[in-house]
Amino acid sequence: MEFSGFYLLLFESESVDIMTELLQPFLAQATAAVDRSEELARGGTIAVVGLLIVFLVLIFLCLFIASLPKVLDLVQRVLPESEEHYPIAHEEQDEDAELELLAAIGFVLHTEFQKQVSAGSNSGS
Amino acid sequence: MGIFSEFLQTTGFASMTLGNLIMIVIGIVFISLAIIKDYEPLLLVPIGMGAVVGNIPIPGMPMSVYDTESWSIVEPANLSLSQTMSPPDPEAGQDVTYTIAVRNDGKDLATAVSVMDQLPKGVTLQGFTASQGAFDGLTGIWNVGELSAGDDAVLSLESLVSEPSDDANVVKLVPGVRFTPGSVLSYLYAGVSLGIYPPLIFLGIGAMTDFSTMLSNSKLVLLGAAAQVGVFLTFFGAIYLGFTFPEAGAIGIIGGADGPTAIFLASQLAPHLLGAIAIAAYSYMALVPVIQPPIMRLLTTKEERLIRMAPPRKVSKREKMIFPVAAFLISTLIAPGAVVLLGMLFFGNLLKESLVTERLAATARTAMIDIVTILLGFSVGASTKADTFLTPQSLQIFGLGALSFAIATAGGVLFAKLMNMFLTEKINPLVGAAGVSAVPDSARVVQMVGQQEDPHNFLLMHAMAPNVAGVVGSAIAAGVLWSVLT
Repeated sequence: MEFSGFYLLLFESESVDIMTELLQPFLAQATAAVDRSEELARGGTIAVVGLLIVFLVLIFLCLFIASLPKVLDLVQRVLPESEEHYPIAHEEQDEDAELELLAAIGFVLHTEFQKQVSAGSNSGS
Repeated sequence: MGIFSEFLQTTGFASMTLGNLIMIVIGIVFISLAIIKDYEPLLLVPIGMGAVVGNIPIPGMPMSVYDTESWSIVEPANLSLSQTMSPPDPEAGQDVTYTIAVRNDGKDLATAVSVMDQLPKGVTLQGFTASQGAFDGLTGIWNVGELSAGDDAVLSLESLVSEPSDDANVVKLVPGVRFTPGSVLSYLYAGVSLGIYPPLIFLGIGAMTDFSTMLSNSKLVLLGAAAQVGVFLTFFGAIYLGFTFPEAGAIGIIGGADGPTAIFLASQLAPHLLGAIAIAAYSYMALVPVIQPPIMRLLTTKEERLIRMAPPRKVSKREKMIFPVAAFLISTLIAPGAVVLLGMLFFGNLLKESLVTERLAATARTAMIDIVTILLGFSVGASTKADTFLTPQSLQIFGLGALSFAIATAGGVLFAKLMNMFLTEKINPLVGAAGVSAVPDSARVVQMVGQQEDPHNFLLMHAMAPNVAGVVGSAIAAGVLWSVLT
């Protein structure tokens, strides 16, 4: 009897209000903790799925690149690669190569000349 | 004396804050680092100068990148309306003139003054004359514009009466719309905030990138994916630290070590953090030779660092031509969010490899990318105003950025070691560090660290493969984050 009386007292509306008030900070904390863990779980899922998508794309690219020479070998038999198709670009590239060669020759000559000059000045002093 | 003190109030010194001063010093440090240490000079000089420019306080003048153009509604105040009608009692078929006058009875300038006129039934407008502003015969709206105190403006409406009625001509003041133009810097910055500059930079990067090394050794592509672990772990770390999801995505991408990608994603997801993210991304890219080597040495043994790799095979022109189109299709069909960046990257590469658009490719990789880099760097620098940049959040972003970079480097190296467990032809794990897409600095670092162990080991060509794969990988990561977080 005493027990039921205690419960009755506990569940009287006034007591419930007091209890709710007392528990409010803990409830708010618990709700925030649940929200936070849900947020972290969502973040973790996005991170894992995102990384998997990046891997998936690059795995497909890797497979494509690996198979490309084989496919092109087959294509080559039917449609051989022609060299004359890009005359302008080739001319430009040849010009570039020529300029690069000239620059390299110039650089070597300049370096050698500098060495000779410094050797001459060293021996002079 | 009074004039002199008034002049002093208009100078930058009067409104200079400690924050402004710190940012100006930071800008000068950036410029110095670029000139003295040669750290990413093409970016640090524009960013540094931009930071100096953006932190000069200009009292009362909208000059910063944040002073954007705006439209606002102006309610009428202190205005009076009057109208006359001639003749006062017109008959059918007779012309009638309504004269409407609006007057500013206040003491201040009235802006965006607007008047609406509604002709009575049976009266048709024939013509009009306005002393100022523009009248729209269809809507009946007269945009008077500005009216000085005590001034008035007059509108005459010549009309024809087809059917006389008792209705009167209705004239009333309506709220006006005022347009405030933005500052010059805000228009330059629009290229950043609208995400226009980064794709253009990608076009230039595509036009200067040679994918041959990647095409010659397809396995190395995976290292570019492994290094993106830095992006996603930092994204998670940022959420843990309390950043919102979009902010975390924008911060995480710093680990992609790709300035334009970081700016693009930050402008879409967290524009308020753009300055800090851009500065962090470019700073760490400049610090690649400092950040990466210790991590590379820590995670590899001497034997591993001595591994020599087989020279890359020759790649045919056809392979190089097909690759940009096919790679674009494969990447963007799986991750459509990357379509903007990868579309421009592979388009630029197609211009280069097709060999028939050499002029376009040359422009994209020289003049165009240079112009866009100048505009991007300068306007990003100018966006680092002290009040928006010097915040605890910026410090967190710098910390997370460094972490992201370190994890990305470690991810690439460790994945290369993992691959070696299954491969007969071993990969030098140092090459994995080039999976972060700081092109070509991280590849150079791999070469440098490799040569410290064996001066005759040339890893540069091999490192370029994960390096360019990293560019693709970070663009995909950005695309994924963009599509998930918006």
